Amino acid sequence: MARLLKQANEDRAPDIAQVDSYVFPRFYEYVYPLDGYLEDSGVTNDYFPFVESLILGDGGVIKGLQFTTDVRVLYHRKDLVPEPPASWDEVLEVGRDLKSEGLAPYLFPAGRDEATVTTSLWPYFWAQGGELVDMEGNPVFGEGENREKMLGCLEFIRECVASGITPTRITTYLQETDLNADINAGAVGMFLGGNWQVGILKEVTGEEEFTSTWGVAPIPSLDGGTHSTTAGGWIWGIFAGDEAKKRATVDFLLYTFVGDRGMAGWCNAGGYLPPRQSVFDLSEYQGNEYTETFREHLDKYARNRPASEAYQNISTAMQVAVASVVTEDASPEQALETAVRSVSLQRRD
Amino acid sequence: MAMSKTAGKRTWFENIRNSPVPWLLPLAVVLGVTFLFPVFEIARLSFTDASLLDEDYSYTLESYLDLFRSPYFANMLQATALFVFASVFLQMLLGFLIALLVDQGEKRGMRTSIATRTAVLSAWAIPGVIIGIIWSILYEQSAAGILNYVLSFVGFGEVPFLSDPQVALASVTLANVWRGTAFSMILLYAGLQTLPEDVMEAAKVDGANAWQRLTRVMLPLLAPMLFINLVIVSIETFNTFDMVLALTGGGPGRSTEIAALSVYNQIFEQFNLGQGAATAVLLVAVNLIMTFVYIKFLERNERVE
Repeated sequence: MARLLKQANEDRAPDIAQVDSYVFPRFYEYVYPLDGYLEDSGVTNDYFPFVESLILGDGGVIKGLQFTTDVRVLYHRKDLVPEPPASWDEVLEVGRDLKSEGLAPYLFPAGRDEATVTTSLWPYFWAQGGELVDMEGNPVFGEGENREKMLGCLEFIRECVASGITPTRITTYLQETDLNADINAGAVGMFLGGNWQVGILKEVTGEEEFTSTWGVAPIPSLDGGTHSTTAGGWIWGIFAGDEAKKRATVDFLLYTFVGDRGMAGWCNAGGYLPPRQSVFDLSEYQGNEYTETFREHLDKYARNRPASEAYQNISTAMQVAVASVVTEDASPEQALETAVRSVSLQRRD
Repeated sequence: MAMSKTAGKRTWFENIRNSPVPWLLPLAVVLGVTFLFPVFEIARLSFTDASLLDEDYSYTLESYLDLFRSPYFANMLQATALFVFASVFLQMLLGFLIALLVDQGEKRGMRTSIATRTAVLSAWAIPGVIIGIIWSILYEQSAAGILNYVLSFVGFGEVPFLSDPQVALASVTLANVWRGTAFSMILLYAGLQTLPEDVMEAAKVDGANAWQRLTRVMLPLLAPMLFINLVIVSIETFNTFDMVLALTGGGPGRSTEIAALSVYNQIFEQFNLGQGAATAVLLVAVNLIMTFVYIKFLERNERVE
């Protein structure tokens, strides 16, 4: 993404390019608006609200075409946890029961990678109304109420490890899929993961076995009432200024990725979720047993990561903070303090 | 006048023809473009607040100041020092022991010494990323973990190879030792081949036992080779990052983020070109000092000879 942004900045970007959805607002000044083209095509503009906040620029102008999305959820063993925990207290309570059955009750990624924050931290933080950056993109996750909320998240993670429901080996899980070996071994009671794991786990454990064993629920929150989750996905941006080229590329993208059949086919092939709501209802879109729940989560709980330039530093610093708390290298307060200091040192004013 | 002009031209042409400059010029150009220019660029960028995401930047000392003020700086230095010291010491020790075994085996007509050399060398030939993946499979802590499974037979509980900060650094160091021992072995094996047989025989005839022959004859004779090995292995270990990246990514937290990996993470993960370049300059400085010592030692050695 950094290279593409640099190319766009120097007017050397390709005619069209896929952009990681949460960074897309940083390309607004380089991509061409697509309003007229979408209206002409007959494609329904029924993107999820969190997608609209990404692809609509100033004045509601369509800046890009999102063609995939994804979402993070809580997976739970239906036989052992018929009522999935909604709050942190419930997680600890259910986890203690599962521990006595010899399972790893509650797993989530906590290694040096983006999954640690997108799956295991931001949903807790956002569900409390926390904000990572202010309107200008300045980091505020360590200030005032945000600080208290973030501290609460780190304390909960620490409590999961201290109570023995989460093993310290989660610091070796860089991606959600790194949990698959444990899940496949039948040693896990609950885990935080992504919708894309369903396809892989079905293949490994067997379709019926997986769907009869695992249920899906919102990621638990402090109060158990308000939930949040992280959504991702990819957006096509058009950098070609030439009218004929622009028309041709939009036609191509609508046919292949964004139109009804194109989006359904592409999401079927890659195991993605469609960012347009009506595509879920199409007969061409196959989905799976969990698709309706994923759709509900996208609609109700999904949020994007901020597109701020400071985000990457915040993410890295908080990945380190989570691991420090899990390994007891630092207390939640120390870990957060170090993260805030690190981010403030790397700010470019 | 015409004669002296021609003679002058010939002298100039002959001077050029007899000078090494034209022969060295292409090499100098290639080195300048591919080596000196990037080093200069890194040094220049280290005095800026450049980011990969923004082409605008300004010149400042803040990159260095922020690096020294960073809460992770001391940890990076400590992790790097431990990693380099333990790796170099163990690589040289094990490399020497294997070289000695192979050398003695050959002298006793053991045919498997070639197979031993090949097996040890294969570890050196495998790319660092692959070694990282291989060792991450070995260190796996879940039920599928190979080393933990084997250790469970001898009464060990689950060893947190990669999830405990201290153990993780030791695990990464062990993987690096496995990778680098072969180089030391080959270098020291070559050194052992050059030891004068008559001196070793004379020591034996004089009644020196095996330990005395090793410490008072063999090691002093091998000292130049050991020193060269020390410097090369140290520089190589300082610059290691591919294997660590694949094995731990620098985690848990930043416990295995050694200097070279820190450069990579700062530039390509956090897009912080200025501070990444400042860390790289520190790394280059350490390498230059090592190289300087190496050259000085070689010069002194040549003078002695």
